[in-house]
Amino acid sequence: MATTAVSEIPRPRTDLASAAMDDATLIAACRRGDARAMELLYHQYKRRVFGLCHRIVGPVDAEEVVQEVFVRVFRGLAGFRGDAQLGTWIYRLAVNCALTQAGKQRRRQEVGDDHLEEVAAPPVASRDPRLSRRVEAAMAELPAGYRAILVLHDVEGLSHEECAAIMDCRVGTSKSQLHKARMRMRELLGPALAAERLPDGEAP
Amino acid sequence: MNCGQLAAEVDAYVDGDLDQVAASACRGHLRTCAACRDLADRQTRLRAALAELPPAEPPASLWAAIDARLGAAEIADSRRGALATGWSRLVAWLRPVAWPVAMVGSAGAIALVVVQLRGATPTQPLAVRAPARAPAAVAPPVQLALRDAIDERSDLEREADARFRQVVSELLPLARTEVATWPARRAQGFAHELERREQAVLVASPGQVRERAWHELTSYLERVALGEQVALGGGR
Repeated sequence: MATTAVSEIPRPRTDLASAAMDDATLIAACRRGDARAMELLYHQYKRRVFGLCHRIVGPVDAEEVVQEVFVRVFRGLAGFRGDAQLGTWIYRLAVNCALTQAGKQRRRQEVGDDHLEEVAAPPVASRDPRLSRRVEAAMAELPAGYRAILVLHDVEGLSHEECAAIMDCRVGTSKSQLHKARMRMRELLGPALAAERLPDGEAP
Repeated sequence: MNCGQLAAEVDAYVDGDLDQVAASACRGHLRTCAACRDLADRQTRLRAALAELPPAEPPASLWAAIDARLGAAEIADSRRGALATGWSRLVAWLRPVAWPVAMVGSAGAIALVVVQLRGATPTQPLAVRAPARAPAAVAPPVQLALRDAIDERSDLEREADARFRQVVSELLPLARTEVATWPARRAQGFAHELERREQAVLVASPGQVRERAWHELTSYLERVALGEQVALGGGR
C-alpha cells in the first residue's frame, strides 16, 4: 500500500518539554497524534524493546517484530487504561509479540526450515567476546519462554515483580521459570562457564 | 544446609536476594562443599556474562518503517469510515430478521411438508426422512402455517441476496482501489480469489449455506479494502 510517512502530514503539536515529560503527558500527546511525542516515546523504549525482541526471536525477525510492537503500542494507546506502568505495558506487548513470532519460528523449523541456525549473534562483543558468543548461542537453544524470562531478569536487569507483571504471571512462577532457564543455560554452556580457565587457543 | 537445599537457593544467593541468616548458611555450606562451590561459581559467571552481553542496537531505519506502517493503518481507518456505512446497514438488517431459529430448527419438518405439498412420492418412508421428534402426521392447519413459513423464508432469502449484492457492489470499488496499488502478480491472485468466492455463492444452496458464502465474499473484500493481509489464489 502506498502511504505517506506519518511525519509528513500535518499533525497536532504540543509544547513538549521533552526532558521533564511524565508518562501521562506523553501518552496524552501520542493519543492526539503528536508526531514528536510519538517519536519521543519510540526513542525512550526502542533499545529495551529491540533488545528483548532481538534476543527472543533472533536477528532475522527482530525488526519485523519491533515494528509490530510499536504499531500496537501507538494503535493501542487509546485503550491503555494506566493500570500498569507504561513501560510494563510496552514490554508486555513486546514479549507477547516476540513469543508469538518464536512460536511461528518453531513451527517453521518443525517443517524443516533450517535458516534459524543463525539465531542471535550480535555484531559487537563485550568484555569476554568468546563467552558472550557462547552465551548467545546457548540462549538460542532455550525454549522461547525461558529465553524471555532470562532476558528480562538477567540481561535487562528487571526485578521479579516487574518480570511477573510483564509476563502476566505470579512472582513465584517468574522465579521458578528463571531457575529452570538458568539450570538449562549452565548445562548448555558446560565447561565454557569456566571461561577464564580456557586455554587461549580454543575456538569459541 | 545440604547440597539439595543449596541448589534450590543458589539463584537467590547469587542474586543477593537472601536475608542475612540464609545467606550465611549458604556461605557456610559453600566453604565445606567443593561441588556446590563450583555450582555457585558457574552461576555467578553466567549471571555476569548475561548482564554484560552487548546491547542489541536498533537500526536507524526502524522508526521510518514503523511510521510507514502507522500511515497504512491510518489509511485503513479512513476507508473503514466508508465501509461502515454499507456494512452496518447490512448488519442492522440481518440481526433482527436473520433466519428465525424456529424455522431453521424445523428444517426437517419443512422438508417433510415440501414433499407433501409437491405431491411427490418419497422414495423412503416419511418417518425415516423426518427427524424422530417431528410429528408423524401433520394436520392441515399446521401445513398451511409451514407453507407460509416457507414462503416467508424464500422472501428472506431473496432479500438477503439483494442486500449482500448491494454490499458487494459497495465494497468492490474500494477493494479494487487497493488492488490497483498491488503488483500485477498479487492483483491476479486477488482476481482468482474473488472469482472462487463468487462461484461459491452461485453454487450454494439457499439459506444458511449461501449466507455463509456471501459472508466469505464480503469479508474478503472488506479485508482487501482495508489493506489487510489476505489469501491470494493462483500461487504466489
